[in-house]
Amino acid sequence: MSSWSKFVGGLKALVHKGEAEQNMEDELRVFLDVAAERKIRAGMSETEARRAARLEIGSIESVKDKVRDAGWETAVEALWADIRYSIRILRKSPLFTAVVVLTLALGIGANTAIFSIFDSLILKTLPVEKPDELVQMDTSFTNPLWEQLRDRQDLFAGAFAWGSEDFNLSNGGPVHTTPAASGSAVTCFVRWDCAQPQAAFRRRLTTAAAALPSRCLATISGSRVTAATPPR
Amino acid sequence: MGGRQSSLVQGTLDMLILKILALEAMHGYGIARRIEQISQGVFSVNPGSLFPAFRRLEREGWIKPVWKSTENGRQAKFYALTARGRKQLESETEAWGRQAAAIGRILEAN
Repeated sequence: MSSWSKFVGGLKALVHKGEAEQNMEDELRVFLDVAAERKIRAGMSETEARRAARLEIGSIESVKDKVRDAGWETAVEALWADIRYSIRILRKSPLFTAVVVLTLALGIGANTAIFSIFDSLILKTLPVEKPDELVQMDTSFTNPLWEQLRDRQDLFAGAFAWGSEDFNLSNGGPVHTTPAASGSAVTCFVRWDCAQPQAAFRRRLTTAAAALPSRCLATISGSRVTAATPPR
Repeated sequence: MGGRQSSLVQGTLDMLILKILALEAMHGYGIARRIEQISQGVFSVNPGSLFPAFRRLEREGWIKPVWKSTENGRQAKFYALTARGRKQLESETEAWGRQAAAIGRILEAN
C-alpha cells in the first residue's frame, strides 16, 4: 500500500512536474515570509528580518534539491537525462561511436561463438536416451577387443563404439573407405544401468575385463560421460 | 532559548513531525518552530531536512496538504495528519518508548 502510494505520488510529480515545482516554490516562499514576519514582530527591521530568514533557510536551491531527491522520480529523470546526453555525445563523434559499436559487436559475437561450441561439446547432454547412464571407456579398443566386449551384452544395458579414422579397404584400384575398420582404435561407450551403484558396476567391469585378452585388462576402467561428441 | 542544541536522533524527525501535526494542522515554518519550542531549543530543524521529510510523509500517505490561511491571512500549504498517519505515530511512539527504555536500562547497568 505504502509503496503503491509512493509510486503513484512519483508518477503524479513526473506528469505534473511544473505544478509540483510551483508548489515547492510557494511553500518555501511562505516559509520565508512567515519567518520574516515573526522576526519583524520580534522587533527587527524588515530588511534585517528578511536577511535573517534567508540565512535560516540556507540555500533555497539546495533545499529544493533535497526535496526532489526524496522521491524516486528524480532518479528516473536523472537517468533519462543521462541517456539523452550520451546519445547526443555519441552522435557528435560518429567515428568513435562506430569503433565502440564494432568492438562490442565483435566481442559479443566472439563470446557467443565460443560459448555455443563449449555448450554443444561440454554442457549439452548427448542426444541419446538417458545420457547420464553412458560410460565412456578410458581406453581405445581395437575392433576385435570391442567385438568381444559387445558380445558380452549381459554386462551392460547396451554398448556401442565409434572410430574417427577411415580406412582404405581396397587392395589397389579405386579407393573404398570404411569407417573405423578392424585393427583401428575405436572409442567405446557402454550403457550403465544407473540403478546399480558405481562400485558394483566397476566390479562387473573388472569381471568383463577378465574375460578379455590380458592386453586389455589393465586399461578398462569406466568414467561417466555426461557430454561428449555424439557418436556418428 | 536555553539549553545546548543537539542534532536529532537519526530517523526521529518523521515521528516528531507526525506528533506536532497530531496537535493541529500546521505549515512548514510553524512545525519547525513548534519542534524547537517544545524541545526548549534542544532540537532545531533546518529546512533542508524538514521539507524532504514532508514530501516523504506525504508520499507515505501519513500527512496530507490542506490549504489554509496563515495568521496574517495569506494562503499557505498546511499539513494535516491522516488516519494512517495517526496509526503510524502510535506505533512509532510505542517503538520509541521501548527503545528508549531499553537504552536507559543498558546505560544504568552496573
